[in-house]
Amino acid sequence: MVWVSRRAWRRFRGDRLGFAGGVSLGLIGVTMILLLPFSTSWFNVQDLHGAVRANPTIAMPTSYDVYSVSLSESLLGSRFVGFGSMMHSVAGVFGFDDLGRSVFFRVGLGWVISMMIGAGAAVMATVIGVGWGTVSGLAGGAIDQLMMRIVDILYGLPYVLFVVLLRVVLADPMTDWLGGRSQLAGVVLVVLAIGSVSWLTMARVVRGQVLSLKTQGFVEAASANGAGSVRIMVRHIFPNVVGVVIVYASLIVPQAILQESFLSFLGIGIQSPLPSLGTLASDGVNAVNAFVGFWWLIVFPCGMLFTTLLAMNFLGDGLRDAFDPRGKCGMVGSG
Amino acid sequence: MITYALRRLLLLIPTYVGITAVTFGVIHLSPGSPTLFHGSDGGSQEMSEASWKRLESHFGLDRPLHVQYGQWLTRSVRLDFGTSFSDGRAVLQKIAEKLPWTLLLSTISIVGGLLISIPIGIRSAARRGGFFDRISGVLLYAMFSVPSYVVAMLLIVAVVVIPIEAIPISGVRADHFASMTPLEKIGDISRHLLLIAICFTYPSLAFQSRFVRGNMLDVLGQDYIRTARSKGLNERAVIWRHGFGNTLIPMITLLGLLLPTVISGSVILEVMFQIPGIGKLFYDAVLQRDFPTVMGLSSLTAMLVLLATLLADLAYGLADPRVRYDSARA
Repeated sequence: MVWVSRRAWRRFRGDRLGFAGGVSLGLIGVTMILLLPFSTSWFNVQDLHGAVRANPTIAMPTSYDVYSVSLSESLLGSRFVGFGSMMHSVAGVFGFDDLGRSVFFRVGLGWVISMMIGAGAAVMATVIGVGWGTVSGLAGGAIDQLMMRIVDILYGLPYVLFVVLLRVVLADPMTDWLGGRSQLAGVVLVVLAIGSVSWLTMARVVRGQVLSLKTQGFVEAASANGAGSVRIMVRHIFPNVVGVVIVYASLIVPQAILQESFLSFLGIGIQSPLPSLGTLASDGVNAVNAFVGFWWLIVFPCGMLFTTLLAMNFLGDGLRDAFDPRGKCGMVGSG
Repeated sequence: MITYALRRLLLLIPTYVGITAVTFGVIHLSPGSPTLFHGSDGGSQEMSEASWKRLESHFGLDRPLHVQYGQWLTRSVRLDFGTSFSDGRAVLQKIAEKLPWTLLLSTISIVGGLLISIPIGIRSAARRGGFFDRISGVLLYAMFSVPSYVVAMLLIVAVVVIPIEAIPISGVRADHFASMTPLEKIGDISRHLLLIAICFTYPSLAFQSRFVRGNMLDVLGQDYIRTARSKGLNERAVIWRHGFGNTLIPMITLLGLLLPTVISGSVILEVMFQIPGIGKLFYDAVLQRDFPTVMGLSSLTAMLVLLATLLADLAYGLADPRVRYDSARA
């Protein structure tokens, strides 16, 4: 196991794109986590100095132009909290949205929420998928048949229906369970919805891997030595599927983030006022059209989504090359 | 082989029943009744208890759930999916209206996608790590990392701002469609579908070309490729006939995965480009709790998924004589 991962690491380091993806993801991640204290407290603060809906313009409002403070205060009453002139310039680097909220802080928090969704779905897919696939592959026979038919059935279910109903049915119980935090409950539900579909592929892949491992000498040797099925699973099967699992899990993260952005566009993803990269991108798409160019509402959230997903995909691809056992003779193909 | 095919065909039945039963249960047990959308105008007027009951029995919702499902199942075998709750028209007819557009779009995107991604995959496998391999990898992953609705918005804005008047941004046909010659009609529809077809196709290019590339790399590492090269065969024949020819078997898996998407459509793109498709129909049906339409569409999709998986498995056996259908692996 140790030598496998060391060889994989050596190969991975040689892959410049994958390495660059990992490094940039790390840099973005550290920045966003350092920003988190600020973005959590400022993401929903409205500053109508920056709200520009009334004045569609190509220029991004970053300067503190005085714009009917009294009007906005009377409109919003006590909800109005300005950023103050110091914070305003920081909050305004990515511009403001139609409600006068800082796009910068919203992207900051949205990135973290999207990442939580991606990671949550990947963890869920890994835990359920690996367990299900291993048991099914090892058991064989009728149990295998039954377990795989269940996967088939879940595969055939209409996904959108599932997500909509999960939201409706579980929203209240989940909120109660989380002690009344309904926003957190919304995030958890999205993770559940995406994760409960992602594990199916993982289960199929792991089962295939287990089926081919099962016939190999070392597993037969172990069982001839009197090892029980649990021991075989833990000591001999798991270490050998780790590579495949890491690769698939790393591909699930960007897929889940993208998936959430589609759900958000349909209005069944993360609920306002919480941001995610997906909700920000879809809000931007809805705000921008050929006649009004609020380009910063599109460019910054989508730029962040794009950079993050690209880095993840490179990272995942690099991991796949690194863990692929066939990679050792891969240079033959280069001719 | 025949026994195996028959056995798998029989296994489709419980799986189909399973999928439809779970879907049926999920949608019927969820809060929000179709009668809600009928009786009251968005909740502004209360319905009397009696008319509520009448509406429920009209839709057959007053019977026990398993009875309802049993009735639905026996009718669905005869492809009778009942009438829609929302407008009282036959579900099959509603589907048949939208299906051609979705089928057309997904066929274009599958065929177009394969025509683009197969050459890219082969080319990048032929010179692994070379300039083309790296550039195409970066570009394809870049495209894969943008949600399709963003690309759709950018395309629409670009077409309007530049402006390109030859490309309409919404709808499926021009106003004077009826007066066109058949050739013009084809041209008109393809101009209308151009943008949405791009948005349908580009996200899958990364996965498909990487799939082809991976399989090509496997094949190109085989001994018979070295033999073909050493006997002096030109590179093109090595790559295409000996190389690509042998990746056709895993391509069956890819087609098996693509086939079910043929009728799924995409609610987001259909709304953005105002194209009548299955995605929107299904989404609206879910929101309105239009049970017959939801059930009709999901059982059609389920059948297609199951058939595609089965066909892919059987095609493996036909294409590759080494595949054996032992009972242990089935």
